[in-house]
Amino acid sequence: MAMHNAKSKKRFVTKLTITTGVLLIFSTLLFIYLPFNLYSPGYSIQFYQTPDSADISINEGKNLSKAGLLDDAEKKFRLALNYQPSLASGHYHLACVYLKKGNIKEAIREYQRTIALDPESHHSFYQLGMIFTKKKEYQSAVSSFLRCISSKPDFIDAYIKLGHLFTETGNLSDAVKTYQDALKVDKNRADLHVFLSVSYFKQKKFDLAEKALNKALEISPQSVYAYDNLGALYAFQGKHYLAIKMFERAIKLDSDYIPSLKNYARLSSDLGNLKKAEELLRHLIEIEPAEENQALLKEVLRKKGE
Amino acid sequence: MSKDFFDIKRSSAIVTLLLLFVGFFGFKLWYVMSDQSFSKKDDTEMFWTEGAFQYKIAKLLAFTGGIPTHYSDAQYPEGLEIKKKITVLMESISGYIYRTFVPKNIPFHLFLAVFICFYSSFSIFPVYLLSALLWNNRFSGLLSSLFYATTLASSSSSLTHAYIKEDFSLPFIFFHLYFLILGFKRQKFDYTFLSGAFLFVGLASWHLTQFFYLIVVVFIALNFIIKENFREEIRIFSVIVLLAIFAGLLVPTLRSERFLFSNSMLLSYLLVILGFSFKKASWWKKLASLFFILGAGLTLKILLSPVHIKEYSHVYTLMLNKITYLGVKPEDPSSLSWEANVMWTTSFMSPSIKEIYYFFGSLFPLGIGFLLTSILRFIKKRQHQGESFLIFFSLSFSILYLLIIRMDAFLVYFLSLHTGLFSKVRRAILFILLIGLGLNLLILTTEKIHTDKPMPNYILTLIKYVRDNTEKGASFLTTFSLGPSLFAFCDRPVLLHSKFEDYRLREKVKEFEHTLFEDENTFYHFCRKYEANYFVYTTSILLSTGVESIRYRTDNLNLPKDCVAYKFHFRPEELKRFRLVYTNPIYRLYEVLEEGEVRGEIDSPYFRPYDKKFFKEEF
Repeated sequence: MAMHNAKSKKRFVTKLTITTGVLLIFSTLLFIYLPFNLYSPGYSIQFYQTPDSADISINEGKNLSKAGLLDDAEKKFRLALNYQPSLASGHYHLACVYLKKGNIKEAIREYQRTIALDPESHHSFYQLGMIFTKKKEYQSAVSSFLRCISSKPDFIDAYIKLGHLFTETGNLSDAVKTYQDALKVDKNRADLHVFLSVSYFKQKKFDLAEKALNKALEISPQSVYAYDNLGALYAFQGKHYLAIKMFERAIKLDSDYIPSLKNYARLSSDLGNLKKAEELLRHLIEIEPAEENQALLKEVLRKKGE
Repeated sequence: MSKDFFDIKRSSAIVTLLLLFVGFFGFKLWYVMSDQSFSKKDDTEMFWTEGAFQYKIAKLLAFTGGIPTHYSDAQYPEGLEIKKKITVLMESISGYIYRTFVPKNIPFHLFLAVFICFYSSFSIFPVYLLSALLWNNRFSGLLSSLFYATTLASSSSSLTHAYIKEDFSLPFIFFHLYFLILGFKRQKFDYTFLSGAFLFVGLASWHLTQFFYLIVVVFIALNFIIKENFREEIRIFSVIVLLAIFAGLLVPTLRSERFLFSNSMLLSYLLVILGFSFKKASWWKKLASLFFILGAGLTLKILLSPVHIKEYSHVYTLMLNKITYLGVKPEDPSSLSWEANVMWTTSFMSPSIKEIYYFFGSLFPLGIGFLLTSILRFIKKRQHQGESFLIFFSLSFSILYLLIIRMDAFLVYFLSLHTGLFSKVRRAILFILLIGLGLNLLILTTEKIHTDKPMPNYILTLIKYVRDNTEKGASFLTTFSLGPSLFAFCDRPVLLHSKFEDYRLREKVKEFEHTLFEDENTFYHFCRKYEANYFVYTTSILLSTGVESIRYRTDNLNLPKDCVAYKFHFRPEELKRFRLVYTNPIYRLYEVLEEGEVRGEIDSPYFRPYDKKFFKEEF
């Protein structure tokens, strides 16, 4: 009985093995030939949609963000990334929404994701530079701005922010170099000459500062900012006549220009022209009723004995 | 109820193996699904090069049920004879399963990601079966399976969204080996028939299987020469040969490339004839007959059927050069033929020590240790039945792996089988093996898996541009590695792709790569000859100078500054017959102008990689 069982089991295994083999071969042949036999030249399928869902969601997100609907915009960008997680622009826009919402930690993370996918994303480096500057993480801010400039050497705003950062941290020679580099990209930007003059001024290189400001005025004769800075420079050097001339030109161009009103008022007060100082300060307070300005006016009135 | 049914040891081994399979499959699935770059909703740029090409075929099958025998969009304009040149079994099964059983609200690529993880995990069963058979110990089988599952080399491709033939074919090849050894051991034809059937599937699904089969045949030949009485084994082996003949006759790709006249088949016929002819003969007599007849056969083959040699000349040339230069690409590119050069890249490179550690972890030293122990046991004639088989395959694939990194998929199988030897030597080694397993698990779960795929964002943006801004039937010329992405995800005809089985394609790639370093007119005439409407330039054409680069393989390391590639990169404004229409930091899309068409002004955004000042020294 046991022998019979063993024999029938053996026979079963043999049958199973052979059947499996035959089935394998036949199904292989079937799968090889079927695709060519079932093909019809008329077949056509839509492999994708244009524009695709990610693009549509990103455009919607951008519009919502512009309209200030940040939560809805965030949802749209997330939806886009759900479709195409490797799309750097999706991460970039999401980061910008986080930045607007004040969620700095998430913004940084998304900007960094953008950079991982698109190492040439200069906008992401710029935004990171701005965030790190605000957080007073100067080292990271500097390297972000430098990387931004390296990716986009004609991106003047990055030079300006980097120059300001260097000036703020007392790294004046680097600030000067940064503005000079920016001027190599666009020598006709008056504001760059003014920023450069500020750095020279802080370095006590007054001649160079004056030269830079004159250059700014040469490029942009209507630059209130340049006149004001030149006025401040002359005032500091004791060239009061020239300083007054510059402040007056600035105020003539823009009668509400606060720095010039303030600087001119201070100079007038120092020079004893209290009437002029009072007149300027009263106008200033109308525009900017800040405590500091009120205090200045009080000081002038006290001097006048009123 | 039979006694076997209640065999606790056997049942627990089966349950453990099934759990291991679930774990192996589950880990792969978890890894793929949790990858941040994987989209469950959109397939764009998910697969790269060969994988993208195969994905397009599978998707076409899934949605239409058929594919053309002659597909002109795949290799424009002359077309690719898919039926004759490409093995479509993997794509066909994937496509039809999806078409028949999967609800259409599940995207095809999502189904495919799961399906790849599923079928590629099947190798674990033949590992268990063969190890348990070889060492006559179920625990050895489980240990080998554990090593196989935890070693990165066995799963690296399926973890990185690669849709490649080897993941599909390897389980069949490994089952073929298992049933072959089982057939030899039990001297039974039915097992050998099943082995042959698995080989049939392997041959029908992957071109490389026939080179694996050559190694199997060499092993049989060695046994035939060395062993005094090998007649019965040859009789059993003849079943395999018969099924291989059927494959050569019935499988269109094998038929078109004259597989029946391949070296492996010639040796197979010879072995069967000699096996049946010699009752008893000395080893030298058998060797002499083998060499004499094989020599004559090869000469006849070269004279009568050069097709097989021509279709696989790239493989033979590569192997010959690999051996000549001991696996290290020479500094001087001119000493290598172009075919060897173009093949000797990425997965056909030799592995570095770091890569050996990364892909094999502890399995490499442990497996090699066991291999040496096996060799010692063989010398002392104390080897276990079937151990010589393992020694031969482990040694062969160790050498092949050191020459071609892609062979890791085979080596991991044989080295895993070797770990089962612990049951025949000191059991104390088990402790070391467990530590080894721990290390492999650590590598598998903590290391980031490298892929050859370029930065996805740039491919994605290029694909979006092409989809949105070029005509549906416009044809695209680009590198053979990028071509399939445009073919698959933009649905545009491409001139080049990465399926090198077609000899004409290799010639076209060669012409393209060399023409890139000629003048603009020559390149323009190449584009016109093959009716290209657009050319996608990739920065690696000019900037890469390594041994895998186009500049290396075309012997243009000293760059001619007046060549068209230089202008495509640095001076698009000087081009007269190509209009730059799109740029990102890696890719530039040029429209090939009609004869007499004026280029007009170009306006391109700035990207550092195209700024010459960053490359002062070289350019």
